[in-house]
Amino acid sequence: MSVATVTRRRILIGAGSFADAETAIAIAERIAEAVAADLGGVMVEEPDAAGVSGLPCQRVVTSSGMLVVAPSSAQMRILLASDARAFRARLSRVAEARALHWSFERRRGELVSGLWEAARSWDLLLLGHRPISRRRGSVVAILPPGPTEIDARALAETLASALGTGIVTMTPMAGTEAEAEEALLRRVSRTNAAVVIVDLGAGPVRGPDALRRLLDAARCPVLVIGAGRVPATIAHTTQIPPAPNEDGST
Amino acid sequence: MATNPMETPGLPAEELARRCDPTDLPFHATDEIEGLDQLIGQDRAMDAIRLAAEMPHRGFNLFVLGPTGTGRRTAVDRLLAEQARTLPVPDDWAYVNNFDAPDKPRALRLPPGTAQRLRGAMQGLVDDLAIDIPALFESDEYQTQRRALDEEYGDRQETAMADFAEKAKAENVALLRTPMGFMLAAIRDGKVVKPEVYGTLDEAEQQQIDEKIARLQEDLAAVLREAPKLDKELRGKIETLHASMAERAVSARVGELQAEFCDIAAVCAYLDDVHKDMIANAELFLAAQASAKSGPFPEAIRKYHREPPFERYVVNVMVSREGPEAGGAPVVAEDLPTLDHLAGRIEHVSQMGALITNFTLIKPGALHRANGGYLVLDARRVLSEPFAWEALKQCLKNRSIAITSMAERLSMVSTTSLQPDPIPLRVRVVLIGDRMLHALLVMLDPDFADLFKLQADFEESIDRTADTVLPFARLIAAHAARDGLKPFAAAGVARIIDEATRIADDSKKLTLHLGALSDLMREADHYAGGAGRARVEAEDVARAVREKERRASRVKDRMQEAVTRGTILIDTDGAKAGQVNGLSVIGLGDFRFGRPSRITARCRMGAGKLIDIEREVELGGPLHSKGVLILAGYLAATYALDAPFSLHASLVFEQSYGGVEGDSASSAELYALLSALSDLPVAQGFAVTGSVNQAGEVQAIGGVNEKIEGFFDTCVTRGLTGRQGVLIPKSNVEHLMLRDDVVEAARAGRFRVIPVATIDEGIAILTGRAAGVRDADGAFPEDSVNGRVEARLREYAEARRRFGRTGRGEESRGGEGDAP
Repeated sequence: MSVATVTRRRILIGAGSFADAETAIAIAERIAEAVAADLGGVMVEEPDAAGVSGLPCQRVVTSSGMLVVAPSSAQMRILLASDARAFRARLSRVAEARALHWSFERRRGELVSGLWEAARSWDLLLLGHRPISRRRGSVVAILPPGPTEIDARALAETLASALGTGIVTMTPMAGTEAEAEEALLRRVSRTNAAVVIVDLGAGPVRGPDALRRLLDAARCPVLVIGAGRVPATIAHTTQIPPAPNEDGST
Repeated sequence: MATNPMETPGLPAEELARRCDPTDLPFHATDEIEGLDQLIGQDRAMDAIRLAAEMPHRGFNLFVLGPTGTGRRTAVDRLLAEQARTLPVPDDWAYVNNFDAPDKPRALRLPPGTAQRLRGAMQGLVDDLAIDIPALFESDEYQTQRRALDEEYGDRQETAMADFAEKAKAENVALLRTPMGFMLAAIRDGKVVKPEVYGTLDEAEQQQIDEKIARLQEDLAAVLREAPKLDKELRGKIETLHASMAERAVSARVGELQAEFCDIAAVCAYLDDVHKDMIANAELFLAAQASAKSGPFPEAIRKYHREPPFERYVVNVMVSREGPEAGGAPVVAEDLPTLDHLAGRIEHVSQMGALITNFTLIKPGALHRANGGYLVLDARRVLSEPFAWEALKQCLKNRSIAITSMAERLSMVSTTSLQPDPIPLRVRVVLIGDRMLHALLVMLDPDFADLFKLQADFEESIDRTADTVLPFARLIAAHAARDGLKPFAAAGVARIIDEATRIADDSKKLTLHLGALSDLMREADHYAGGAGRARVEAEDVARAVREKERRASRVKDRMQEAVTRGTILIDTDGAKAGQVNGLSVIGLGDFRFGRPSRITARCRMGAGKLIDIEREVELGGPLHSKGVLILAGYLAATYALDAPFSLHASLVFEQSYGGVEGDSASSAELYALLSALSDLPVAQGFAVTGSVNQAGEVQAIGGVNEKIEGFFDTCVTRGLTGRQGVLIPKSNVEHLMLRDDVVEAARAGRFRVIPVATIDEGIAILTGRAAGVRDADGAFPEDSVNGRVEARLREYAEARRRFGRTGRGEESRGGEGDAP
């Protein structure tokens, strides 16, 4: 399998914890081995995760299947700060080993929504997710039938070669977007994937909510092509005021 | 005896040297006779070697003793080789990996010629499988099965997680990821229920949420706990798949080898182990294939068996024969019998700073190579190499070869080592050494007699008779032919025979130091060639003898020069009391020469003490001291028996600054003492050699020829007067083999060699006065030597008696005790 020739790319890695980021950084590293790239990291602290830890019956289920007491809010803050440092350190180590430009920042808010805007100036958005299984999964590519701005197929081949695995290509089925999305998510959810590559231009995954659902279904890092460039869909009931004139009048 | 003892005639010239008459030899040159290519006069030793070669029983190892140059080694090699050809070819031995315990390599006993074949077959097996196994794992068949397994187990895990996710979604529960793991949270109105919202809910609803979260947490934990189990199950399935794939490739190839070696049970058992190990370690072949792609050679001709991972399948051949056609058992000679060279060694290689080893680094020793045959060793070398003798004995006692390094024996190095299977040993060891070593081993090593039951003692000479001269000539002919020399004319052979007698130090013997004779023959051949002769004549041999002596005689010449110039004081004419020319021999390697030494004696009244100055200054050896004590015993027991022995005498080798050893000068010392006591001068034209016993008999000594020639050379330098000669023990007459110039001088009456049997004979010749025999009254004739000696000793005794009567206090005033 030949390595695809790709021009310099800017990759933004977003994750809510170091466990999620670690797998995504490994994927980014593989991409950086094939093409010149700049790396960005965003650690997003989700208030939901910190908030629910105060419930009486709340437990944490570890990756090995153990039930442990949920950390307090204070402990959670400490854990998140520690994860952020680890995230930054790992990112810097990977970038400096290959003389790549890198940046890192911390944000609060919902993961996908928070990254959606941030990803506008980046070529690729890589959403982190910790591995559920140690078995080698496939590279799942959700591609439109036609060509894309970035050659997602070449990217998938590069990653599959680097990871030593195969490619599972998924093309959105015909029909309404909701039906297509549901069918797609059901299929993704039952596929052992190492990474999911999605081109938002192909639909039916278009906005942050759909992307969030895709991430939950994939249970692995999701590499997003075209994040932030697709305008967020707005409900038809929303009233959009006319743009103000230069003098401020409407 | 003549009227004047000094006029005593010497031995006739014919008795001074025995010459072989070339006309007695039944050939003109050695090319006319058949050479005798075997030793003569060594029947006893040869029988011992044959016995050792033929005896199958243990312990009948052989020690061949005797001096170098007697043909010991040649005889041993020839007889052992003859016997070895009649013995069966011994088995091959190899070490192979012990897959269960790698530190205990297994020894494989194989029919002759099989070890190399097995090694080649194993190399071919590895090379084949290094291509076959990866090809099998790259096949569609394997890939399909492997993919199916991966997908099956991957999907099972994903399906379980997907089912859980759907169930959680159906129950309005969200799966949140935190740094510690997953958390489940209830969703109400599309939002996660936080504690502040939870607090506003009624109790029933709270309970419902609590129950739901708790149940789903358990479900999620169960799903996640299932993952490692699925992984383990998958690994098992993959291993089974690999084993079944590898088994197909390995079984086919190993089966071919088993068919080839099916008649050797040990090999079949080993191949069974190889079969199992290759299946269990099929990944070695896959890794080799992966690395092969970066190598310089195409994979089809790549020698995979040389790569480190496949060392485990190496057949490390310790010893291999060519097969039955090799003909007989081995005869191995180890010239450097160190511990490692004898018993083999386990080498180590440095890896990451540590010394490691494995069974492929086991190296064979001489015992491995000689197993089933004969091992010839130089005894001195074996004994001088650390632990070599101990290791040899241990192997012979245990009848097996156990490899233990010197570092391990000394506990010097702590590193990984091996315990290879001992290899059964059946070998006949032949040690070659000198008699001293043999005697020391017999005395000091309790194991020696048990392990070396046979000795082959080589003679140093044989009788020179009419029966032996011709075989000896044939031996010379064989040596000449073997060394590619010119034929030796009968005169040349006769000259060599004479030299053989000279080397034997006995006119009735021929030396068996054939090495020295061979050297002489080669040198004579060289001179004959230089002179353009087709045959080696007597003059060539004589020149070789002369040149050899000349090359070695620098010290001799310098000593002779010192005598001539008067630096060393030696009188060869006139007469002096208490002074005798003694003779000594100096040996430098195989060259010996004689030289005269002035021996003087001084005496006075005393308490019966005889001082040997050489001994006092520790320049005299024990034998010399013994000789001096014997002559003291002679004096005490011969003269003035009714009076106290009141002599104080001193004896010295003048201008002797090195050690003096041997008792051959004891007669000369006694003559000097008798001369001093009798105050009769000794003729300085004589030199004396011979030891003496307490009865006054003169006994044989060694080096008589060199001693006579040494004094003769001194006399020649000073000028022969006809009054010069040497007194030798009568029992040495048959050892005379003097140079031609000495013989000619004797024949012309210018030099005498006079044999004496007793001290009385000798002192009469030296002083020109009869020694004297006790008459009926028990008294010596008054003017005889003995009479004068006895009178002097009585004077001493009387003086001593008078001194004792006057008391010690007068000693300082008187001086009565002084010798006259």
